[in-house]
Amino acid sequence: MPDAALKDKLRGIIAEVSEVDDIPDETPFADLGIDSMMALEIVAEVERTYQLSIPEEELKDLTNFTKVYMLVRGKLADAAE
Amino acid sequence: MTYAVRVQYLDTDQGGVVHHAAYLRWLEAARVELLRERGIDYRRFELEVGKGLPVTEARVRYKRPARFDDLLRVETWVPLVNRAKIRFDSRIWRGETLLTEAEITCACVLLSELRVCSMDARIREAFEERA
Repeated sequence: MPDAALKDKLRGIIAEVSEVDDIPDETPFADLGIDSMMALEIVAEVERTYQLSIPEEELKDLTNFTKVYMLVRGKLADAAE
Repeated sequence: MTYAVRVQYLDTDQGGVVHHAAYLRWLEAARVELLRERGIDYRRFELEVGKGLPVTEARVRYKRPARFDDLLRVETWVPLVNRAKIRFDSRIWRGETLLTEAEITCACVLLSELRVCSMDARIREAFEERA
């Protein structure tokens, strides 16, 4: 999947779950009002959408959009190999 | 899963009908019984696993009143369980009359830290194939 398309899709997932329209790249989720419960819902939806598994220990690092994007991009690349 | 409730006097309010908060207790009792039916003793789950299932959202529609000494039936099932949450849906009946509908969503937390964690695998396994 092209990077732009992946970013758009991820931003859409995060926006839908969090009901926050604007998801900047680097703004901490906490500053957007995305709490730990919402973050877990986002992860669950990302896992479902891309058939990925994100271990518990990686969750705490997903604090902004770029970190989610980098993680998902890496896992999709691993899966494609 | 069906849980039977006999309305007690203390469940009612000054208007002579069941107070809206009483339904939440019955919904909780029905959830605990549903967990038990699926092999999860909730008390042991909290003590031995160290996790809990706090309510994060409660939607209740009160359609008809119940009164003292009514015998009610709480039907509860799980339509959704995933990494983030489990939802228990319920209908409360008096005979063939539907009194109340509810959707209760619970997260999973580590009790020692009161921190949200992924839904415990035992809970997911107990309900996932049926959700």
